[in-house]
Amino acid sequence: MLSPLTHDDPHQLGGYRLIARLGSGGMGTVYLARSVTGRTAALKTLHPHIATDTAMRTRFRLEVDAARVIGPIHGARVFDADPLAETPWMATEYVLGPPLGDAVSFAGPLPEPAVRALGALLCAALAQLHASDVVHRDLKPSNIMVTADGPKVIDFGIARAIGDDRLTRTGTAAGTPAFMSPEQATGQEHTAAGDVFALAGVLVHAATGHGPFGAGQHADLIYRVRYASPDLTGVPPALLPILTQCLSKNPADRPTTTDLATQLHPGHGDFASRLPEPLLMEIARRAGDVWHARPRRLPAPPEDALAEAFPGAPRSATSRLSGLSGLSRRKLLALGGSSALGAAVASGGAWAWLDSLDGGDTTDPKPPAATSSKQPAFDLLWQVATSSVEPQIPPVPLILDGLLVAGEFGVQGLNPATGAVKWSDPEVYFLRRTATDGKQVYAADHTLDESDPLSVSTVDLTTGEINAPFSELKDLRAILDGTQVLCATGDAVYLTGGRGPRTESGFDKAQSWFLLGIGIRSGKKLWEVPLPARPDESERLHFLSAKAVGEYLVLVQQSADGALRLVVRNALTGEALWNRPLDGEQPGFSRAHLAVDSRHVYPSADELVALGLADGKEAWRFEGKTPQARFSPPATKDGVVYAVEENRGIVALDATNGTLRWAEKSRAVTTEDLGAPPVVGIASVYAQNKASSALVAVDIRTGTVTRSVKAAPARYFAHASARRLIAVGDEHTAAYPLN
Amino acid sequence: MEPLRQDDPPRIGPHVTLARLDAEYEQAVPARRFIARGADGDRTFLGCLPRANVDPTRWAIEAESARRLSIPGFLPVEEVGGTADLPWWTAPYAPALPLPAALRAHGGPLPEPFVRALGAALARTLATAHNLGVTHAGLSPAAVLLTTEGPRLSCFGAVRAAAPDGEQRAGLPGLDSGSLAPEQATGGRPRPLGDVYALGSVLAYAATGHTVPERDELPSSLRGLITTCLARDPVRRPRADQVLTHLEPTAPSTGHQATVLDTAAPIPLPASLVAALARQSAQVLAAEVPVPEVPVPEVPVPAALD
Repeated sequence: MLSPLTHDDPHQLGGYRLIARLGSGGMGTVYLARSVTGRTAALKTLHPHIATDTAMRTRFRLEVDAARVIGPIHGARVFDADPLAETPWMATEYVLGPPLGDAVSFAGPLPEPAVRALGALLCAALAQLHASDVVHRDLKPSNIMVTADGPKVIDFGIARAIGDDRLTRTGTAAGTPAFMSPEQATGQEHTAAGDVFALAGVLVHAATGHGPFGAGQHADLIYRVRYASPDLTGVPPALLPILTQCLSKNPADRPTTTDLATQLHPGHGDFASRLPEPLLMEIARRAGDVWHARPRRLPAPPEDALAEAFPGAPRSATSRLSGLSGLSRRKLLALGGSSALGAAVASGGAWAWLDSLDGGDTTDPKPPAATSSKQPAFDLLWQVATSSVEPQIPPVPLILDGLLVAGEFGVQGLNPATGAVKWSDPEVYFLRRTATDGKQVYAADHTLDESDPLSVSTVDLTTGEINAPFSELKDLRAILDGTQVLCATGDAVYLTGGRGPRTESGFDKAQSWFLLGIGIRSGKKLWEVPLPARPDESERLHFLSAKAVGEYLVLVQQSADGALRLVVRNALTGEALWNRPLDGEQPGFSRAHLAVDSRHVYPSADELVALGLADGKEAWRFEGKTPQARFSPPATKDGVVYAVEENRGIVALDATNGTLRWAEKSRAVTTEDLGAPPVVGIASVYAQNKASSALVAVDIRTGTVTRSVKAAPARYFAHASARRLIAVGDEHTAAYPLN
Repeated sequence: MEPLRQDDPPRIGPHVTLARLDAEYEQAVPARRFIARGADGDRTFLGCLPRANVDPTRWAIEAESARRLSIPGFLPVEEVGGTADLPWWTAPYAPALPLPAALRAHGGPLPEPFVRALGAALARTLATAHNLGVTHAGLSPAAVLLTTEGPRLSCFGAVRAAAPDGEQRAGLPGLDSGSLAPEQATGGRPRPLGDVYALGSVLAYAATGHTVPERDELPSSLRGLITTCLARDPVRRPRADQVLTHLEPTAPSTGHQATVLDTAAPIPLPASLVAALARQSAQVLAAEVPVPEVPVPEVPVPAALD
């Protein structure tokens, strides 16, 4: 729940001694802190370098005002604040409960009586704000903490006084698009009725686990918020009429908070008694765990200096694409909620997520026999708000020396060792339009100009800016939504591109699509093969993953109906060598993991087999301990193949012939645990154990269990050079030490 | 948790008292229990003083014994201090509801599944203690502290502290007559099966609101067990491990290797108790002691414990 302070955190702020980190984002850090009177508080800070920006300081002051206006019942009680300090800070009560988004993800959708009570109390919270002429503008599940006594609205990063436009000069649309009001999405005034729209979205999420406009890409969301009917699947029928009315596109048609509260008629009784048991247990756990917090501080990481002195990055702020207007890209960023604003809302959400990621039991006083005392503490080192909600392809961060590029859209460049944001307002906006060969990041720029050709560039690794393109494909259109940069080697970049009419989102059957390889030195098209046409409004991208190894290009291709095939092509000519269906019970994203070495591909399809890259023939098959045992997607490194076997644990096999090197001592492995490949570290291999919200770690040479940590379900990746285990969640990216 | 009263001590040893743990009418508590904070503000404690009419020396001997014990499920006494006349002990604070406070928060007897889970947790703790040759000799509803991490037993040795073996103990201050085994009431040395009697009374209390229930009041699924625990003749009572087996017939065998992840799960608490514990936690988190430089007033007013 808490992570240690880092070496450069201050020892005290505003008379509060810092104890632990609760979260951190681009704007600042939230600490658990204690006053000289022994009062424990959440201390929210604004980074001093950001505080030099008057607008940011003003925003911080408005947040403090809003937190005071909402009061201690509906919000976190404000103890004290100093928005004028060098590091502006605000001390509030430490709220005992998870954010609503987390609550729904681990306890499931809330029962109707809980939704009604939640809604009525949130109406009261909003009424409290609106009565003081403040609109929230960013109500969403991660900004609402669920306590035993009711919800508390905790993050006011963009709240502002009605009619106050001092802070709107940086962008017309702010907030989270998934819960944004249509008027906000079009850059118009978001009034109290806009908060009612967002509240209804929050209630739909609470009742069903999904927002009324889904999730996904910024622009798509904004389109759906503006024009599409809300998706109310799963909403209890009795709530449909009122929520539908709240979600009216026309603000005048929505009820007031008073009307809404009345219609929700939550009835009498305790709020807590309506909550599902897992959520109650989580609230109880947090109420107790905070008393175990002891001040801890991490030493300065030795690789920090290296990462900061990041070498060889091209600087080319001046070498923009000449034909491309910076303004149009700006416009898109603003429309999507600029990343500055993304960072503004980060602290609250980050704070929230941290709690669920780390079960808080990492300092178990009684280590079991299997753990020896000399092991290092296994702690969350950092986490940053990024967005990978309902991605269209499996979110795989780009991993380079000293750099981690994460986020499905509004991607950020992070220092993998520290989580420090190197760039968060990038011109590279969509992760699916980027790829790396481990040295460079390649990107297909996107623009709002209808006529721009598809171009491919390297990215300035220090600024996130796109360098002058090394390739322009005049017959393909940069703007089309289905464009993907699939993978890259030092010699070539592989991507999809299309031509034909533009759509707001998804495909159009009149478009033509191609898979192509481009030489990096020449900038010339190496080859191009046509791809199947997509039906209108289809959202399924052509490829879920791709890897180029030697002369082979290995792809997981997706048909319009979602069926997956493993396809291997000659990387130099594009010639199709072989393909086969990728069946299995796991969801498509799980089957899309690609484990490839120089001889074999190890497909992710419940079984554990090696297929020859050249011909697709089965080179070996591992049967497992029990007949028909199922396996997680495999991972391979240094001539060893690793996978999680059902009812057994991690197994390590010789990549050449499939003989067993070691197997983890048997433990319960559920179907859920088979959804992701093991993560291969330096001295350890890690696998998820969702039943206990944990990552199991075993010794890479022997399979002996070495250390486990409680962790929320996330996608895990190894950043070997920074020695970080990277966790990619829906809204955040985080890191543990990698051993 | 209750506000401090006029006659409550401002300090327990070096620690500043913030609030009472018990309401005044919990007569059967063998000690005065407080929430207190170290003067530097960094740590918060559960602090305990003997009540009037209890021999402080005997009380301090039991406190010292409790400090030396390390039994999972016993409240870990950390520090014993004070003088022969006015001893005290402290334990690290965690949000805690004495069982009577839990019934008040719930508005009546607790649900049967919770009573079963509570019984199993207490029986496991007692079985461990008995296995090590330790008799708690102080179990009563007020001795059971419900925390977010499971029940914790306090008031260790209250029966031994109340009067030496061989003397009548019935009706002595600080002892809950409903939880006092008949053989201990007449002066018998506290033995494990006396703890089982007290366990029966605690479960009866949790399920009905009093320690000496009418047979019909008890939930049918617990009636037989509680009745045999409350047998007047100790030899007719089950052992603690038998109570555990009865309440948790599917108690997992210890076949698989324990890991960090297998730490005993806290028992699920009713919503009312989660709310009460979270409220207490929030109040104590926000509570302030006077700033050290400021002289401590004779009767400190607890801040922000509304």
